[in-house]
Amino acid sequence: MGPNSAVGSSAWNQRIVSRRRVLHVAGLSAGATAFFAACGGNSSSNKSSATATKAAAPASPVAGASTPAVKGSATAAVTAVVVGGNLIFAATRDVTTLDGHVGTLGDEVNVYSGLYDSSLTYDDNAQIIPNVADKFEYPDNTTIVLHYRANVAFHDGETLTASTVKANFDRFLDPATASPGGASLQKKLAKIEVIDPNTVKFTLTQPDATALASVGGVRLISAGAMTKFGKDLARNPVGTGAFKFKEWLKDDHLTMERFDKYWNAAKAPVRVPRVDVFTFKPIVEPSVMLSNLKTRNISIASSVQPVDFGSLKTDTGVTAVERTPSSSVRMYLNLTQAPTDNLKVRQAVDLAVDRDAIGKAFYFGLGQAARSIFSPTNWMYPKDRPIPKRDIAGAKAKLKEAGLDQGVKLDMILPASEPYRTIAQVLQASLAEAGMTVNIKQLESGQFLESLKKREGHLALDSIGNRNDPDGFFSGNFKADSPFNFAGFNDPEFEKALADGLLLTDQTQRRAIYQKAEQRLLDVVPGIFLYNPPGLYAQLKEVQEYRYVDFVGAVYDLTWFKKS
Amino acid sequence: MSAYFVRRALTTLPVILLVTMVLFALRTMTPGDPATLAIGQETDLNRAQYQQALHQIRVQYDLDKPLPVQYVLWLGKAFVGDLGRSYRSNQPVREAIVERLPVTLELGLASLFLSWIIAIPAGIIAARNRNKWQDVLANFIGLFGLSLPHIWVAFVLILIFGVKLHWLPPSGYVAFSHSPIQNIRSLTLPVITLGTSAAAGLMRLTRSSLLEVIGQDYMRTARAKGLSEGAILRRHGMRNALIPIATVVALEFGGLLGGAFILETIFALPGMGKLAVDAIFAREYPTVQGVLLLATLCYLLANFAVDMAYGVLDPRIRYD
Amino acid sequence: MAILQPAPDVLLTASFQREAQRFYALRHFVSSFRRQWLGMIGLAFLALTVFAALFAPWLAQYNPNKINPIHVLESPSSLHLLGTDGLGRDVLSRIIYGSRISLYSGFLVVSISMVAGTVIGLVAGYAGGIIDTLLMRCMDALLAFPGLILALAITAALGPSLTNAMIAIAILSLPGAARVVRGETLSLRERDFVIAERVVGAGTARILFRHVLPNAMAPIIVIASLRVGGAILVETGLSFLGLGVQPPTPSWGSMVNEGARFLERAPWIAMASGGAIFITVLGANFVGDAVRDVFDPRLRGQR
Repeated sequence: MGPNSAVGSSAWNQRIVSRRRVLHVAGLSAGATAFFAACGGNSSSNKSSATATKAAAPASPVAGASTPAVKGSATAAVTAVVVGGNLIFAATRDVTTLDGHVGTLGDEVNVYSGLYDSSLTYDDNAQIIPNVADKFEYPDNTTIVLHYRANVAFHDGETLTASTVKANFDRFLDPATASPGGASLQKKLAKIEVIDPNTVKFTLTQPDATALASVGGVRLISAGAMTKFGKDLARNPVGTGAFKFKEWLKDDHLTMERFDKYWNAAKAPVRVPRVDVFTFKPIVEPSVMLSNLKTRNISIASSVQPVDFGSLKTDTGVTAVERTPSSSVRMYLNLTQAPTDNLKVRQAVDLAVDRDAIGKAFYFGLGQAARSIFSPTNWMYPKDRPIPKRDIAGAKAKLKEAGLDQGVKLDMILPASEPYRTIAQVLQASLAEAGMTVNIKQLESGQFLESLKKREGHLALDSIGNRNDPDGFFSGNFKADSPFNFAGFNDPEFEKALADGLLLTDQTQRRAIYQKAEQRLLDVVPGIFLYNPPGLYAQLKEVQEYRYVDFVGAVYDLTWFKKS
Repeated sequence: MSAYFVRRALTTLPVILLVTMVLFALRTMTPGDPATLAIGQETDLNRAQYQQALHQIRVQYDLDKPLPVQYVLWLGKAFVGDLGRSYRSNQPVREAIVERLPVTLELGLASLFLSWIIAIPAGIIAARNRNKWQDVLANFIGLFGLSLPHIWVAFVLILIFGVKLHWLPPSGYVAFSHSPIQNIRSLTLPVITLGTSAAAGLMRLTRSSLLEVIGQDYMRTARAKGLSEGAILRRHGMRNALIPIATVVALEFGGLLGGAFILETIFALPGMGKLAVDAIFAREYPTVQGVLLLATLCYLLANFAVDMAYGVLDPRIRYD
Repeated sequence: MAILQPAPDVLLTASFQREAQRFYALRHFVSSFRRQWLGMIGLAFLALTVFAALFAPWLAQYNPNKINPIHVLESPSSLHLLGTDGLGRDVLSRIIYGSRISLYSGFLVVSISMVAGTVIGLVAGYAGGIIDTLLMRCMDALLAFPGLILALAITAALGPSLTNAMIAIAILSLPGAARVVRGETLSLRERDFVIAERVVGAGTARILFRHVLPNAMAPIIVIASLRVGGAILVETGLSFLGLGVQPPTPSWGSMVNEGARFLERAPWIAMASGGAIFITVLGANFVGDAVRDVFDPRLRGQR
């Protein structure tokens, strides 16, 4: 109405669409993303087998994984635990589908973690641990055997069996399901067999260190529901999770009720799940979300802007939490176009970027400057390596060597949202000091993906979520035949290292290989690793035992409200 | 008169076709497609596998057929009321629209109502006291809402009434059937934002339409007859001044969909504007087309309403 | 549309008024505009904006794009009269430079939509018949078209830039001008002085541009003044979407959006940019009102 809105109709979404890209960060959906990568750590030795208790030894309570540790941590509080209530969880973006085989986008995992279980899951240290599969084995390096618990009930009353699991994989891998992760898992799996009612054997096409996580991460849906609902599973989810789907009004709210027959319920000292209702509320604007938290209209604000974080610390009704940074903001440099085809120019860019300024300008000192391609939570993270130093004189010298000291003009593409908009301006200013003019082109997310594929521009600003396996940090953007290889990087040595790395299982050997792969990137500079943003969220003071677990999402089956 | 309406209806039909056709054509101009967005960036497929995966999703979404074929198929289904389904949630588009229509209608009608309450009395006062302080004041108040961006007003209102004073919820929507009081509370801030900016335009229109009518000869005649100024306005002035006002109100009704979008986003209201714009960014073509068809139909309806209003307000049109 | 035909008894008076108006037009305009003090205030507001835009390099104390991570979100002080923004840039300097983008947006939208809309309206109104129907149906289609889709498609096809987005807005604003001009043309077409011209043998173009157009000027100017304000506000909405001006170029719209993000921590950003928009849009509207009052002969002298 009025001129204000004539096209004022405009506004928005981009930021949201791209914001979800940031949120991807933590919320990598298990089965649906190929990079739900294997833990390169303890599970990689060839014939290791793990039982629930063994593998989960260091574990703290994880969605569904009831281990002695749960009891241990909970007993102290047993008397105080209050059950009941409505946990209202706000996210910046709504769920787009409830079909656990199809969904991938950031905030969706926070709903899936309550609705569904996957065969295996992760603990707080990003180690793979049993879940509804209580045991996993590797008889040889191309076979995975999963043993499932008996008496795992689906929300519709069905019981989980090996054939349910098989039916789930058949659907997940079927191209007609259009599961984003299906295609990549399909090339890893040669055969899936039901051995007995509780055992499934997966045969791999070749040794693959990431396969366990991919296989173990597929969310399990009731077989009856799959036949009954088909595509309508997107609005009628039936899983084995702690919460049962109730209703979903898109862009407004999604509610789930506690599931009485939850397989993990009996083992905890106090009723699990503890709250009666879980409500997911999409609130696009982070500042509005925060207002809702301060006015106690929501229980958990899943994303908080760095600028607001400081003031939250002093708010008595709210707990603000900063997680270890696990995502990474990166810049890709196009090797196929002048002048960034020139190594000297790329090195000049590398020397000129100001990581400190990024930290100050957008993150208000939270998070940390990136020293490596790996996230700080990954076992490959070189925590002793110094952060690359800014060197304007060095950058200018490189440009002079390239014969381009008269000035260089570079086009930078980025998603039209924060933090990219701010970071791009910081980079623009820092490159200008070295004599490089950056032209900023912010693009709506659909356009950005196309431009990234088509290599339109010299520089591309983007971020990547956490990965469990080191391979994941490289393959999507630097592998020669990856569709999103903006740099056009094609290095035989690097390709070989990545291929070898997947076949190996020994961590020491893998470490050497991925160090070599990273070194190639540092030498050729197809990408620059800028910053590891903080994971910030806030909750009401009385919210207890709520956690966020990398690769799993929000974990709230043990969450309860303390009476004040 | 009915013949006139039939003629209008027949000329408006091509408008619908034109709009939907342009929309289909725009698809080819806009980079980014639903398959690319569905897979996203987080893939470890190689180029060939990726292309194949894209193709498979396009087949799933019926996007592999030539555009004209898609258009004809869509049109045929739309004609019998089937607008297709959302790609990701598989929800029928018609159902999605029906879910959201009440929110946008409530927001829009409440804002229109608010704007009338403010604008028409203010416009009359301003016109009757032309160039006096009442006029200036009414003008200034009216322009206040028109001269500030929605985004600004929305955030400031949230800060003041939501966060600082705790009078109203900062965002969200509660259905009227669920709780009438909560419903009104949840819509108060967005309605104030939207209603005040609409009021400015309407107030100015009321004022100028009245002034125009006051200048007409029959008003002079009425004045010469010795009727009081108030009676003149009531009996002659308002009736004629209402014609342009009705036009604008009806057209604004058509513009509600787009206009409410920013507010629906900021205030987290599950309305049509948000549905449409989200669909554009996600390249959810069935939803975009469905909402657009509805918008065009709304516009058509609004135009009909205007024509109807002319008949009632202007006796001369009856001689047609 | 029948309602646009004037009642016969006013025809004669109107015709006299038109003739008189043209004779005294300019002198009268200036003198009576001066009496519209709100219009004068509006003009002063607009002049302030134009002044800021023209002399920005001399007025601004700082480089508007110079970022300074040390001095982020500083409150107003003698050093930075309106404080600094999220990147430590001087807000006042960015407001001063931002006036350029706002004026540019307003000018672009108004010039394209008014010129094209007027031509369409004149042609449709004067030609009538099938041409009229065809043109006005197209205008209807534009009105029914959600603006964002067009803005998105145009910026996607031509590349993301404010100019492209504003062209989209201009196209969407066509129907407003076209409808009003068509309405005026329809009613003027049958007036005595136009009929007289036609009898004397004047060509269509002459009648349109010498007689019809000048008489349709008042509503065009009024709509244009509203559109200037509208375009400035729309720029805010486009920035909200990331379709506005590319950073780091300062624009009031992008500053309002940034200010909204920092509203609690640094309210001065939103207040300053919102204030700048308010003053300019208010100015444009005051001017529009005044022009209408002065120009419209039916309103003149009615006190």
